[in-house]
Amino acid sequence: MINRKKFDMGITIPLIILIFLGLLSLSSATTHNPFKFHVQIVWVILCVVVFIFTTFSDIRAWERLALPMYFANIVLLALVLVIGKKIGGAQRWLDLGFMNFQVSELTKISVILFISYRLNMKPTMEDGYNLFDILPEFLAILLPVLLIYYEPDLGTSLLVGFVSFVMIISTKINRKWLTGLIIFVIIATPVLWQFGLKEYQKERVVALTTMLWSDSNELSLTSQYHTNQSIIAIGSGKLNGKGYKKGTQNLLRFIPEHHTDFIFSVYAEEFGFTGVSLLFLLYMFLLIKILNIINRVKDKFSSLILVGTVAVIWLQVFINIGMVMGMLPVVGIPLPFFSYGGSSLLFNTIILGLVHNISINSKYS
Amino acid sequence: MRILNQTEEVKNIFLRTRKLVWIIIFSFFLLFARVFYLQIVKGHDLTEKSRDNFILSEKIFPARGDILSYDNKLIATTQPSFKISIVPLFFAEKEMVAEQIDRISSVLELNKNEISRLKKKMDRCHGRCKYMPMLVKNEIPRNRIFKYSSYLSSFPGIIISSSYKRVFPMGEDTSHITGYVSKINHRELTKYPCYDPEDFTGKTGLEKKYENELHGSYGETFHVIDHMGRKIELPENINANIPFSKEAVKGKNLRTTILSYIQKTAAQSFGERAGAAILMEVKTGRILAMYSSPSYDANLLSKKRIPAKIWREYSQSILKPLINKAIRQTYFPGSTFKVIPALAGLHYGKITPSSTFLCQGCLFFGSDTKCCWNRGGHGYVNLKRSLKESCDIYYYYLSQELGLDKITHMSSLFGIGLKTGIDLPWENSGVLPDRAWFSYNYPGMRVHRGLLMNLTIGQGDIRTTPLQLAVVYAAIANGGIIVQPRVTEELIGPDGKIEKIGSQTVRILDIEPKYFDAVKKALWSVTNELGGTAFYHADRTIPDAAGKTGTSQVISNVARKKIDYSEEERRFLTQDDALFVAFFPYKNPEVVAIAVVENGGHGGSVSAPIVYKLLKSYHFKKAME
Repeated sequence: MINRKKFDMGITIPLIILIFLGLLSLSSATTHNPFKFHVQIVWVILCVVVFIFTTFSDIRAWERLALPMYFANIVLLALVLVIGKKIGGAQRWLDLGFMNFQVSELTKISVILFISYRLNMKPTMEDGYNLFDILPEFLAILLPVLLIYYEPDLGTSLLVGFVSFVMIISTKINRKWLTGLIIFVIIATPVLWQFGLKEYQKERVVALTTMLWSDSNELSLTSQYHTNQSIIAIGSGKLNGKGYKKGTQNLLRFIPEHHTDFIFSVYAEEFGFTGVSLLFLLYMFLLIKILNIINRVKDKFSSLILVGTVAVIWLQVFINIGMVMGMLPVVGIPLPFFSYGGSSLLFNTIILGLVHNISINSKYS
Repeated sequence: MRILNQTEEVKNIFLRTRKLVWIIIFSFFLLFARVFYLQIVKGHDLTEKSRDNFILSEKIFPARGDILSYDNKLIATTQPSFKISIVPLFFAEKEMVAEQIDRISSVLELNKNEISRLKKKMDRCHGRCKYMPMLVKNEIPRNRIFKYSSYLSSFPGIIISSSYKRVFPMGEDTSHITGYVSKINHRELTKYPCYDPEDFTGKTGLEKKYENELHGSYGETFHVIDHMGRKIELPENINANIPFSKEAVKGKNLRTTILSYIQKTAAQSFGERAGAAILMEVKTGRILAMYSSPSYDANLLSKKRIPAKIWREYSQSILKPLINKAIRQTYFPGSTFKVIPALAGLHYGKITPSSTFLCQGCLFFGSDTKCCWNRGGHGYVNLKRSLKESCDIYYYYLSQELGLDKITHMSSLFGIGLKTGIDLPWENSGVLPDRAWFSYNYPGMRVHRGLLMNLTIGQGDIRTTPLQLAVVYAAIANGGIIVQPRVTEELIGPDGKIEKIGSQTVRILDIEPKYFDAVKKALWSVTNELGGTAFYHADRTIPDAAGKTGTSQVISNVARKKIDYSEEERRFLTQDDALFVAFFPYKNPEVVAIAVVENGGHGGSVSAPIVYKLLKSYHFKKAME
């Protein structure tokens, strides 16, 4: 018998439904070649074990693990740049023989742990942190961000940076310094545009803006073709969708990357506005539920992990779906619990397991 | 400065993250709005688009209607031909393009030029072009396409489509009647907006005149394609409601009045010489043969892109093979014109068949001298002799009696200076120099006697097409009915429905039959009495024909003297045009035949044999029936 007190239904039930919907979409997306679907089933089974393990692990052990994990992550990221496996022009994976390990997925969790650990060590003043207090953390985050950026994986690198930013400002920051930082970002953006972005990245952004504002369907760039096909898939789902395994855009493979980054369009095409609404509500429910846990948490480390988890899930969902619907440029961000990929599912499960752990402990300890 | 304790810090984080809750809700609101816009607002449009994605509609070109001769020989028909195109986006990745092109060109046996043209096209292909089928090879015959198609299935983005090729089995013999077809141009696209830009239209001849009837209507078929543009079977769990295909409807067949054997005779009788010949029924205006020499081969021009070399050869030749001289080229009618002033003289009572004028060889008036072709003079000449021996002086006197207006009035009643209304494009109306014409072209000039005399013998400013002369002589033969010539007998719809094209009469002349008889008798003597200008050239194996010779000077005698005769070409080009026009049989005329040989010399000796060949062909075929 499962002890009901040992499970927070508010987290596990949405999670189970999300994973179930994800598998449903994936099985439809892999109709022609179900191998990847079978692999994902194995991963899901593995992740159930990992989730239960994480739930009942000692949270203090994770606190101790934060620093070693951070350094291991840096080493692995550097290793990716040297001996990583190239897929589609980007060097993002380590070939482990049985799987391609995407190290930047590990970065998401290790950075959350790292920041929670570091800020927990640093007591806050009444008027908040000033820049010099958090400068070491800032630099420590910049390192993985840059390493990921050079893979190149602009999307994940920005995501990691943004998650860290959300976590830091959720603690108290000196107002003067915060204003200064925002001004700095505003000035730095055009400089980054000029020197930091590659041509194809700029092209995507420009293509997207023109498409959003002019509403024209002139296809010129390949990425725009992808987005366009994805928009057609989503829109043609209408209210109730075309039905499971009946999406023409999916089955005739007009949707690019339809089992990984663009899986949302498969789901939206086959289950329509009704299905999409259910999905959005599930994500919202899960995220707000996690944020509410902070209210009964007693330590800073745990609450920062909760903030980081919310940030990382929320941003991935928003960026991925925004990209698939043509609101944001095309970047390689998967949809949590939906996209095919072991690394992503594994680390998302671990961090949700930690959240679950914190939730149960805060309730019953 | 106080340091916060853990509880305060957590509380602080909790309070700050309350704002995050609203940001998250707002961000999901954005996603909701977008998904609502796409699925609910634009859902219908995008569903259409998703259908367009995998349902490829393909236009089926109709077969053009056949053109037949009256004796049911094909003179224009279609043969199936295939073309292969590629969709560049699906055909190859950017790095693989050159390799793929090499592969496909070895399969399709492309030559070096075609390969480099294809490579260049692929290089220049950006944006929308990448989605458009690009032609690789066309005009592939049926047996070849089977061989290719087995290899082609390994290439993505290949489209094989069938079309038709226009062929003209009689080639040069009938090209001026059928005309040719070629790729539609911009101007025609605005005229026929529903035509496919790859389609062909008739450029001249019947192909142009009956474009609407011959073309047929497009069909449409639908295929399911995958993202690579390959035609596939529809997966069974997809409910796509693919529309039914629509068959293309072949254009109407057109049966002409042309008799293929006479047409062939006409084509063979010209040899190297330039000119035109027509055989026409006198009562109906049905044209049994019409040939313009030299001709061109419509098969060579009926291509998407006319080979530059062939086009240059045709368009630059001084013999103008592309022009249908029977209706588009004008000549001085010469002596063949004399029947009109003769009839005018009779009709207005200025002469009787027996009244005479004295021909002394030359006529002096004022400072000018006008001579007959026979400098010795004909003596007293009556109407019959004036036509039989083609006396010029007789008509000079007659012109003074009639005056300009009566002659031009009678001429225009016979259709001189007006289009005959034949159902072929680009007919020339010729020139009738009446008073209005003179005052327009030579304002203030008095029309003096010399000009009038020239006009009466078919020289000077008058220009007629061979067809106009045929109509004039048909009217004489049938007693004053001006017919509208035609080459179309009937249109036969794809369902077998026959649409007859009836004969049209332009006008009926109110001239007494006895005057026509007098002229007819005189024309009979031209070919059948000793002394007639065509007596020695007439063919006596067939019943009597009645005709008139014409030898029209291309340049004046004065100008001729200045010519450098060392140049053979110049000498040739300044020779007289030879005309002969006749109706047959004399007793009860059925047909009129005319032959014009450019720079041929004397009308009787050069053109009359051609006319007699046509008449003979007509007569014996008819006798056999």
